[in-house]
Amino acid sequence: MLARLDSIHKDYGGQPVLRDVSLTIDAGEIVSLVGRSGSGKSTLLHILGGLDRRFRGRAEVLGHDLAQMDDRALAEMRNREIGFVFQSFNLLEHLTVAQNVALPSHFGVRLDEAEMRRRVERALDRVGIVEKIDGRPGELSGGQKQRVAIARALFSQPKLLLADEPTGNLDSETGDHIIELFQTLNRDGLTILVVTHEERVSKAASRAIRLEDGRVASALGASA
Amino acid sequence: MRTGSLFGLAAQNLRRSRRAFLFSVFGISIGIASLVFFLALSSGVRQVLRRVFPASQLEVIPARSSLGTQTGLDLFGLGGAKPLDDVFARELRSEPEVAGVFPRMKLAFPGRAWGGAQLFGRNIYTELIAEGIDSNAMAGESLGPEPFSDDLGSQKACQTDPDCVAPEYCPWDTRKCERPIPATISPFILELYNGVLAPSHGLPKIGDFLASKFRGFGFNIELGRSFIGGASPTATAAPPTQRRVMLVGISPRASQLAVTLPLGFVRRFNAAYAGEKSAAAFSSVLVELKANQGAAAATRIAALARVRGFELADSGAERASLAVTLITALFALISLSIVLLATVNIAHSFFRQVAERKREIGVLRSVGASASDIRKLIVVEAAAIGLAGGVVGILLARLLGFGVDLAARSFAPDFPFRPSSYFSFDLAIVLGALGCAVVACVVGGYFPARRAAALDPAEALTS
Repeated sequence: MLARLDSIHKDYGGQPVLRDVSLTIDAGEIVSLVGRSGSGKSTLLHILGGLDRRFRGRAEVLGHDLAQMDDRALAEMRNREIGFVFQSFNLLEHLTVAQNVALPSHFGVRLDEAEMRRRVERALDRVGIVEKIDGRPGELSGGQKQRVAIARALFSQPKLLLADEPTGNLDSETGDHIIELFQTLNRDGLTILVVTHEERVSKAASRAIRLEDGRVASALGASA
Repeated sequence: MRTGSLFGLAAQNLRRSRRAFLFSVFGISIGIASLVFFLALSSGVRQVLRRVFPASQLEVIPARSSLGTQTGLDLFGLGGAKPLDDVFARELRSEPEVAGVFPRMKLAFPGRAWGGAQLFGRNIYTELIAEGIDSNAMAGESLGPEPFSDDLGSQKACQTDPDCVAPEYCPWDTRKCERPIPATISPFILELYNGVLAPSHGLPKIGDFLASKFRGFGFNIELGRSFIGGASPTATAAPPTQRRVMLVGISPRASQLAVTLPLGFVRRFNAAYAGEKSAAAFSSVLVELKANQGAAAATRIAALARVRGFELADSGAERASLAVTLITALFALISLSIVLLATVNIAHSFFRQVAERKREIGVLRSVGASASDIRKLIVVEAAAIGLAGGVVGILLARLLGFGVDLAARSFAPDFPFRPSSYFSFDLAIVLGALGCAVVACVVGGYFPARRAAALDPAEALTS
């Protein structure tokens, strides 16, 4: 088991966002987290990624009890073991593609220039966009930007990839390519949790968890 | 976060917001330029003051409140002031901060002097204002061709000058070969001559080269006779007599406004022309402090002098120094106000940037930045602005100082102790200004940095 949430509660200004959410994610799965806007999907992803510490309940991710970790330990976990992909790509426009991909290296183990370049090339090669290594985000299409964002998430060779609406800003064809990419990465052993409201993305997952009004409404798939 | 990465990321961010960076650098550099300019000016003026009033020298005089000193009667052996004598000089010598004690004695009777035809093209006539000083005061000074000593010379019987071996000569009253009286003058007299007398009388200025030529320059004095006051005031005074004087150099220990002769000569002359009493008491005692002795040592010597019934001569140094300090403090305050305004501007700029870069901060948190990494990143960006602003400010101040010096050289009239530059850009001022710039910017960046570090990463990502 890679991650386990037990009775997670989360409020925003007195309004409950997550109510008694419990779920598990096994190593090697692609799990989709589906539900309408405001159902708490992204909040759950942030809790799993250690970005949101203000919740009640027990969250265990990659063997870490998140409630027991301080800010620095959570940052280290995000740097070494978790990759994030966002709907709006979140690339830093003033950096090159290579610099964006290598962004985690600033906060992790020291790498020499050659090793850094090798890792950047490998990550970009995995997402099929190595030829854009010296380009700028402004020169890329939406699909290419998302591939760069995925390469950045893969840079530290994480065990868990958390993707928040990764196809939300892409046309359907480009979105399909991203889904295929996720499937390829999963076949290579990467565990992926995708937050989505798109049916086609959900179908590509080995398991789908539906959230409604902050509760787990249903869980379908192999480990359900 | 590693230091190299911290600086690398900070540099990337600053390059991106180039306009904000330049604006902030401009603001801080104006404040720092103004601060450095006034501090360097103050330091330069203080250096001039130190030339005029050497800080390591104190002059102990009889208390001014005494009737004798106020009326000048003690000079003629009639005053009521407590006399400065060898007993107090010995006590001063035993003080640990004191490097040397050199009694001085004023010439207590009228005299006149003339000479200078070889140097100025014509003889200059003047009243003789002279003072004697313990000849040990000139030990270590570069003097010549004759030593500054009380030695009278061979005292061989003679009728005319050729009977004596030069530079000795044959005085008509004693008919014994005597060497010229060695004399020194202070740099102050030289500056006064160069700054006032030379320009107004069309005489040549005396620079370093001419000053060296000055050594060996001779003139004549007549004791007991004055251009303005007639003969010596005492009935028992010796008849007027003439002597030759030879300038042997320029010394900061020489009396500021008088020709300085070895003490033994003045003592003998005073005894002959003003009576034994005026040959016994010193008019002042020059106290030379050891190197690196600060104001505390001077205060201690002043206290000791007061206890013994004497006081320190007011050279004007304290008032001049206080005036410089007050003016410097005023301008430094104005400069620091500019720096403060720049700090507020930097804080405002960073608060705005933090708001604009909220999502970026969220991205950095998602790839492994801790809250303290974010705080450090913004503080380093602020420090870089401070460093750049400091360097630009110092360069601006130097440029401005150069301009002022150039303008002064071109337009301002000559005056005593005029410096080649009015500014002294000491290392301490430069480093202090750099530190001030960096600290001001770090303070300006600190609170925005705290706000950035406190951002909830999940909220920042969805902003």
